Amino acid sequence: MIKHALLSALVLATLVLGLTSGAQAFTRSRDPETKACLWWKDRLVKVVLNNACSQDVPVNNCANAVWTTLDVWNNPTCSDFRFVSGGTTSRTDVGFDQDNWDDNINLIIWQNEDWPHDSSAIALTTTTYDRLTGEVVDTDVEFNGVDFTFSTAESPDVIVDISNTLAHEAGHMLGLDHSSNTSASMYGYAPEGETQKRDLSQDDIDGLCHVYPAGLGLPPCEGFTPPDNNKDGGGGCGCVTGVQTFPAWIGLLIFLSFIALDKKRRLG
Amino acid sequence: MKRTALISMGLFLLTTFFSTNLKASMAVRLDLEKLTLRADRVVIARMVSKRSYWGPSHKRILTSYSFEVQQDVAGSGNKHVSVVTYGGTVGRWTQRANGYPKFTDDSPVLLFLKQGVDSSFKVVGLCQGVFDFHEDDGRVLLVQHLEGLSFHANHGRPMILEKNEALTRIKTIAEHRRTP
Repeated sequence: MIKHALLSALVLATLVLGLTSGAQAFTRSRDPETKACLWWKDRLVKVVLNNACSQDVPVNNCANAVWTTLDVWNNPTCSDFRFVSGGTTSRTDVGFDQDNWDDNINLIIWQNEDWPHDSSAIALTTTTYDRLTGEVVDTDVEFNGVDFTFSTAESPDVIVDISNTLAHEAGHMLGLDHSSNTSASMYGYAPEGETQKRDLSQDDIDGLCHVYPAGLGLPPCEGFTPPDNNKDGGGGCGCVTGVQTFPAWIGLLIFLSFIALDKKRRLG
Repeated sequence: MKRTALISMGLFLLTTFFSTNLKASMAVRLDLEKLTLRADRVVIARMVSKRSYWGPSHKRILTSYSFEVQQDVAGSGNKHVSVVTYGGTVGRWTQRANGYPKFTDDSPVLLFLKQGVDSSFKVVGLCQGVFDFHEDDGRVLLVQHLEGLSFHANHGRPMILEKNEALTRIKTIAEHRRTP
């Protein structure tokens, strides 16, 4: 009897959690140790594109796909965060130089000759931040041009769609984590040939505007207390994690399994 | 029957729990066969120390983990192996190279390792090549790490495997690779 009650409570809680998670599924990236949420102090973030771009499509199409995709995150009027085009560069250096602060660039690059990471990785984002405050100081996106073939809207076949991939990575660049909302650009899975993530869903827009609301400061970061000496720098980084993801269908499945088990036991 | 259902339920919840912790970089899914075939060595090991440092370019932070090998599953070599990953913390700066595994304690893990250019190893498939051990109703399970990865094609839930079955499969796959 007690077991029944406990299970019912579990199922109910699961269902409630699952159903409410649909309303706010976006999540902020956090430092796993300090729990600081990641955020940009300056809401105009300059991004530079390596001029080789992808070798799988004409360079103009590639560059156009990159800038158009970043613009998708610039469009919502409820936020004043902007990716700003810093043009193209021949530089290939990924990472952050703490000794030459002004020399750092936020780089988007196709590694076409030598992919330094595992060959299973299509794109990899490297973000450098102050672990005590969560302030992001540099972010770079590398695309694996060695092992994968990329495509744009102009390509005859969609293979790995640049816009689809970058829209997702750009969300990480600005400090968003994965969303449980399956229609979101920040949803964690992308079937081959998918182009849905090219456009932001309402959940992505809600996440962006929650962290960088137009004309307003950063909202408090739940569960994180910034160090005193960073109070003036907007150190109270913005982060209210969306209700943790636990889809309602899981609860439903557990509930149905439980009913089936119970019925079987009564019959036999 | 009831026991089986409960175990299934437990596994399902375990999968769900581990799959909610995903982050950034995009990758293709590697199954057990691909992980094994891409690995030079598969071991059960525990981390004994780690050190993060700025790499040769002074722009990338690397972390070198030292592992003590408890069991060779496929391949063989030294009792201590060094595993190098991108990302880590040096002073106030943390560099997150999404998708790379992070090891925080000395709990044993199953590692699929690829020999690097020097004597150190890389983990196959970024964090896909790391499995934790979990006990569930008297059985030992291997639960895959997928932190920091999103997937292109196929679903992205972590593999959860019964330990002995998985180790036997890995050995068989590795043996077939050696035998032409």
